[in-house]
Amino acid sequence: MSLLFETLIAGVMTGGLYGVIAVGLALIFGVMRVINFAHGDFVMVAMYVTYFLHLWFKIDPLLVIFVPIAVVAAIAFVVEGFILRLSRARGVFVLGGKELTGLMILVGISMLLENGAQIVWSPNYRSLVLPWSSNVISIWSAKIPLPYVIAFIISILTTILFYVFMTKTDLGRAIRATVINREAASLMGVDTDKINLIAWLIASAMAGVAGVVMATLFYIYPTVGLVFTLKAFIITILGGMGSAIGAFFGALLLGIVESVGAVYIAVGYKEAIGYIIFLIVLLLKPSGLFGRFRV
Amino acid sequence: MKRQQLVLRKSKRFNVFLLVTVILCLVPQLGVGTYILRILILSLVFLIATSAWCLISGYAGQINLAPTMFFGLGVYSSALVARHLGLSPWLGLLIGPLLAASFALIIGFPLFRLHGAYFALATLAVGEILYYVMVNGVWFSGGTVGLQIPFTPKVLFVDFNDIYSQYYFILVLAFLSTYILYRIAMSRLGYYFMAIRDDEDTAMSMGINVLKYKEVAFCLSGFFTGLAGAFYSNFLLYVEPSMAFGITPALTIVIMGILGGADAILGAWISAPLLTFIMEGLRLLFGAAGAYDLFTLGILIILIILVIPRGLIRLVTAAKI
Repeated sequence: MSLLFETLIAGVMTGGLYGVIAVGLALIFGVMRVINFAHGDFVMVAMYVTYFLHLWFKIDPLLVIFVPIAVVAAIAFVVEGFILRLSRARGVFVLGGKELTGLMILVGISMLLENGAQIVWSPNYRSLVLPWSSNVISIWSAKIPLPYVIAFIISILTTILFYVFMTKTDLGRAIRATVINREAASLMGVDTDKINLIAWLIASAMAGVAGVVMATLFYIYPTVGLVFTLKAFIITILGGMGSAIGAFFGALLLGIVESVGAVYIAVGYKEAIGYIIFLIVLLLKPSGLFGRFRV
Repeated sequence: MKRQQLVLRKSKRFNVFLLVTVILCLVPQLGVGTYILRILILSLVFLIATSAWCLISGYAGQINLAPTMFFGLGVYSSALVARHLGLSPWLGLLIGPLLAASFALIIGFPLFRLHGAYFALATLAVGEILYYVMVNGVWFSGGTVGLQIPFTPKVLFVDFNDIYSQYYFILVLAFLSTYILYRIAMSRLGYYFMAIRDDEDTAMSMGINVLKYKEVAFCLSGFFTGLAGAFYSNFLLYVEPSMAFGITPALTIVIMGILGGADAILGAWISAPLLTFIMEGLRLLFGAAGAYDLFTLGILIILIILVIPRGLIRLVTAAKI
């Protein structure tokens, strides 16, 4: 019983982190109808920045969480503000329209970041060891490593902050209006080009947050981003594309399914189970488990 | 566009296709080394897969981000036939395409319930599932270690002992495959595909059975991609999951397709050799482990999409030759 409980807790906690990544992906898709293939690589960059900040300055990464966020946001600014904008301005698209054009550009960006990281930082696995890395917290009968607890708290806080921003501020409303109907929002005086950029900045900042926390939990290596990207794809489908809060619940679901599957079925099939759930949901309910709920 | 102009442009593309084929036929006569021939063989393998990708993604408009699901099945069928049935791995050239085509038929039913970006993501998931099946199914696939394929030079009347025979074999295979795919794309069937791509609802209202023709395109694409995969493993004599179902071969095929022109089957005859040589050159220049080749490929993709999003074939045919 205690094993099941621990498995569920671990699932919820990693799921929360996946959620922070997936919410950003869903936001970009919602606003621009473009799938950000490089989203996981943003997380990877943040992980490396966190690692080196700790290596060079010996500061606790949670205290300087803004540095990796700023670095990732700067990359996102270049990607959306220059490259994607340029491709839209040229108005010539790869066959399959804007969706495929944006996707392929982001595939290129993803390869740039991933292999750039490999060139600069070598493909070696690194891990960030902090003074509190091996601490354990007992919840009921389960023992949960402290990094997981901190990760979960941060991801919940980030998501709540995001939710409040989207529902309570004018800018958040403008973004939601753009998600629901781009043309109508633009007619109502929303500068949709600016909204694109803001969506990218928010999404990348969340990827940055996730990266900082992920760095304390996972090995850091150049291709780690692809793992996160693919997980975020699964989650956004589970939660309904364009529905950011749905994505968060989809993430919790994926986290639980993965950790339960890893313990009770086979560790090696952990990833495959996620994809199978993904396909089943796609087939039965392509609009996502929480399809109608749009934030 | 006037029909005459259209036909003229198509015939220009066909001339490019013939010209490249003639050049490729003559290359071994120039006394180039085995190294160059090996690269050319690899580029021809990917050329077949790319042309097949263009049929489903460029013509029928269904973006398949993981053509490796067919490619990998072809790759593994050669190895598994040799390993578990003790037969010649060249039998994979027969089994691989059929297996891939039947897989396309079956997986097509659920996949084609999805549209646009959803379809693209779902194909990616299918590719990843197959990848993990191969990684974990150690008892039949050898896991990440992979499988060796016994070298069997004699097949029926052909002797594959030297690289020249392998080269001409894949060249003929590539020529026939692309020619068949090209004829299909130019036929009534191809027009159905394009109608579906341009507007599914209109196509349906004109009496085109959308699901049926998507399935046909998917199966054809699967068949030829599987063929390419089956030859690939016979050539390398070795299979492992990431070269068969990995993300790198998948993206290579997609990028070659877009570089040549997604809606031009024959575009692959320019893009596949070009891209393979660029990648190989970068590997020579910087060393294989440095990831410089993929880094440069990333820059290239972005530039291609910004500068010539409709593909190289249009640049070539637009030039006055």
